[in-house]
Parts: sequence; structure tokens; C-alpha cells
Amino acid sequence: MEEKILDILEEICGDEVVKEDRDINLLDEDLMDSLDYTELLIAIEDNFDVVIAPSEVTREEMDTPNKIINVVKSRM
Amino acid sequence: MNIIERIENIAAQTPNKTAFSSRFGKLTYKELWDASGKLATWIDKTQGESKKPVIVYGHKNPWMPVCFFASVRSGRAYCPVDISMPEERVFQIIDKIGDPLVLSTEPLELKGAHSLEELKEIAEAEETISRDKWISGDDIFYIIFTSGSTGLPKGVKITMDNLVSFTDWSRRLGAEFDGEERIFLNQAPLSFDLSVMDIYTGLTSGSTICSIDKDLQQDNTDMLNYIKENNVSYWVSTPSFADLAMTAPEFNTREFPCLRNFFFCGERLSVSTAKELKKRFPDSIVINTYGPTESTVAVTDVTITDEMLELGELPIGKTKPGTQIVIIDEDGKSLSKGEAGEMVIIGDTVSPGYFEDEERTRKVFGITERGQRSYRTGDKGFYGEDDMLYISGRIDLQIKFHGYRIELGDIEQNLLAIEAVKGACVVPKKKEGKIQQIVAFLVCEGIEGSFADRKMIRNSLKERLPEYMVPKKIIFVDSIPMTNNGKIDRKKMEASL
Repeated sequence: MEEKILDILEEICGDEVVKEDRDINLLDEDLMDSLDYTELLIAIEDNFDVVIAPSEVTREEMDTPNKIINVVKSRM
Repeated sequence: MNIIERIENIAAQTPNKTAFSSRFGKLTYKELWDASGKLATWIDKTQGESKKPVIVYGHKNPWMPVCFFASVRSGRAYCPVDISMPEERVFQIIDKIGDPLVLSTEPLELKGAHSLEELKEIAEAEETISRDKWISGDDIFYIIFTSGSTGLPKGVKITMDNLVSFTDWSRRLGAEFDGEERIFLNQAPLSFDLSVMDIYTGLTSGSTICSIDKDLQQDNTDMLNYIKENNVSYWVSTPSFADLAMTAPEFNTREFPCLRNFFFCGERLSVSTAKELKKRFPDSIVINTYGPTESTVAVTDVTITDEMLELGELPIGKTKPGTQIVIIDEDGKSLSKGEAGEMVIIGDTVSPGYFEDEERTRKVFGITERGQRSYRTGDKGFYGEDDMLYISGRIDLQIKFHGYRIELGDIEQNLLAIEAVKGACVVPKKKEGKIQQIVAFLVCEGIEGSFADRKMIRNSLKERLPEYMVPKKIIFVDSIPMTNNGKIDRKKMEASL
């Protein structure tokens, strides 16, 4: 599952650094804009059946690959 | 004087001068003239009433120009087909012309094709052709097939008059240096119309063509040695090919003292390529030209000056005599200075159209009120403050992404303006036909390809371009793949995603 999320992130962010550094801040590093974030939420729903409404979590709770993995895990 | 008459003259004045040389042999002007005259007689006998174009298949054998002139002196156009073309395409062309005479200077698996040995024997046995058989005026001189967007190649017909108008201008380009012997580099395959620039500018001026084959081009060192040994003085190629040559540090004026004129066509000449070239060959003349196959190789030219190298973008220059370029908008209305739109070429080198393809001819070719031929290029350009033409991209390289209209060429230009970036190609990444991301392939110097490097590139782009134009994905490559014609292979890169 982690691998799958990382694949999705790499695809959306366009940079393999998300796999190399799982604590990289996607917002600070300009790797994920709001369009990408929406795309990520849709991809999580499609792949894991986990629905995350943008209002439920803040962007700060989802700003690194590790945090994203944990949020998805906690909801499966 | 037309093209055939010129060669006749040169063959009489300097019979023993080398017209064409490659690793496959040499040919003097007299040999070119005599052999083509005899072969023409045989072509005319075997073809009789049929005036179908003759297919000339091969690569860089000196008999290629013999076959070209034999065809036109027999009263028939020729259609050059290079060995680097995929077999399927070769047969598409043969089918399109419909059971044509095929002269092959390289082995070809085709029943009825005439081999080089056969042609040589034939030429021995025949008398020379009478001059009233020659093509002239508005007769078709050659047909060059270019890739169509629908996949089926389009045969661009170029007339004798087109080629005369073109060479009357192209012979005057560049600078003549004292005591210089003009030796033209032929890099492009003869089925690519860039080769017309070197072959016909060279032959109609009585110069020598030094032709390099594709195997030789695989080895940069051997190739450059060959160019040096043959004292090439006139460089004709796509900019990508010059970039390749410049990967060798010894490609400079000290090692190549004869090289004085550089001609570019077929692709956009970037500031970085021109700058590097001027650095290595400070006293040389670098000429940028522009034109589509449909208007006989090129219709504009400009000699690059040091001031131009300070600009972000090089001009393609001014139109040649007999040609005019107008800029039109989507409704066909002509635009004024500074406004970018589709470039339409009007003038004496515009082709009469595509070979037996009324439909596609009508789409892009036309006749003006004053009876001149016109061609819609599909290239986007504008006139600058300096009255020079500038290209801003291909109309079909314009994409729509997240609702924005984006010019991929524009992103490439801005990438190339970054110090470390030596080559750039930007393509859309598509999923089920929909654009998902913009991806940049980059050739960089002094960069390891780490995240920090990618970030640096993205950040410097953000200073120049709106965020939506900054490629999401950056891929570092050793070199940008090229097509057989030496142009950037966009399709290949797009397919690799």
C-alpha cells in the first residue's frame, strides 16, 4: 500500500524525490499545488476506497509523503 | 539559365573539378554530365509515353546526383528515397506514384528495381540525350515526401522554376573569403529537402559537395576528421547536428580553419547554439534561414550578429527577393507588426502542391489575386521592431492545458536561457488523449540530476514564466533523440512517457 501511494505521489508531483525523502515538505518545496492535491484525494479514493473530504484534514496534516501514508492507513 | 544548363556550362568550363564526393566515391562535373545524359536516354526509351516520376533510392553514393540529373534530363521528375526510411514508408511512396521506374544505388528488395551495376553498364552503352527532352519552367523537378499528420506521406512537388528562384538566391548567401575553395557539407539525407540547400547551391555554383553518410555520422570523431580532411568550408545542417558536432571540444576554428560559413535550416536556431559556435569560430558567418519543404527549402535569411546573441530569441531574418510572408489570424485577416499569427508564404518558390493529393493541396495552398502561389505554413511568427521575422512556434505545438493556451516552444526557449541547460524538449504527457502534465527533457552540463537540480530549474523557470507553464516533470538525458532528418524527435519522447 505504501508503495502504491508513493507511486501516485510521484506521478502527481512529477518528481521521484517523494520516494527518496518521505519527510519532504510537499508544500514548501512547491511539489504539490491545490490542483494536484485534489487529484491526490481522487486517486486515494479510486485506489483504496478511502474518501477524504478536503474539509476533514488540513493541508498541513497531509504535507509529506509519510503523513499522507499515515492518514490513509488510519482510515482504511 | 536553368539548373540543367548551369551544370552543362560548369561541366564544360571545369570538367575535372569534383562535383560530389563521399566515402563511396567521387564524381567530376564531366562525369556527372556525361553519365546523366546517357542514363537519361535509357530512361526515356524504357518509359516511353509515361512521364511518371522516377524513384531514386539510395544514400550517399555519387551516382545519386547522376540519377537525379538523368531523370530531369529525360523529362521526368525524380523522387529521392533514403535508405534510412522505414521499409513500409518506402513502399507507401512507391505505391503512391504507382509502379514507377526505380533506380537503386543501394540494395533494395524490390522486383524490377535497377541496381547500381546495371545503371553503370547502361550508361556506358547509350548515346547522350537530346536537350529538347529536358524538363523546364513549370515542369516538376523533384518530389520530396514529408510526413503528413495523418500518417500518409505527402509528396511536395518542386518545379524547375522554383529551384531556379531558390538557387539564384541561395548562391549569394554567406561571405566569400579570399582564396577560398567552396566545399559544401552535405549532412542531411537526400530525401530531406535541407540537402537541396547544399547539393543545388553547391552544384549550380560549380563547387564540391562533401557528403557524409549515416554510418560515419555515428562516430563523431571519425566524422569530424573526415570533414577536416576534406577541407569543408560551407557547413549546412540542422542546429541539432551542430550541437552534436560541438560535443567535441576540438571542433573549433584552429582545428577547422577552412570552415567559414555556417548555414542552418530545418529547425529553430537557439541563441545558445549560435553563441557557442561564434565562440569557437569567431570569424565565421553564421546564417539562420527558415522555410518549409513546400516552399523549396528556405525563404528567409539573416546573418547572426553579436547584438542578436544578447536577445532571448534569434530572428529568422528577411524574405528573399520574389517572396513575401504575411501574418494572418485565425480568420485569415492579416495582422500588423508585432502581432503573432500564422505565416503565409507568397512567391516564386512555392510548390504547385502535393503529388496527386487535391484535398490536402487545397487545404494549404492557394493563388493570390495577383496570380502568385501561396502556402500556409502552420508556423506561428511575427515581425519585430527591427522588421525581421521571428518564429514563436508551431501552431500544432500549441497545447491547451488546464484551460490555458501554452506554446511548448516558448517553454523550451526559456529553459535554454538557463545557464546549465544545453538542450531542451518539452512534450505533453497524455493519458487517454487528455493532457495530464508538461514534461521537460533536458541536456545539462555540470549537473548530477538531483532533486536540488530539478528544483533549481523549476525555480528559475518560475521567474520567467507563469506557474502553469512550468513543467511538472523534469527528466535529464544525455542527448535529445533525433529523427532520421536530424530534427528533434518529439514523438519518440512523448511515447517514452
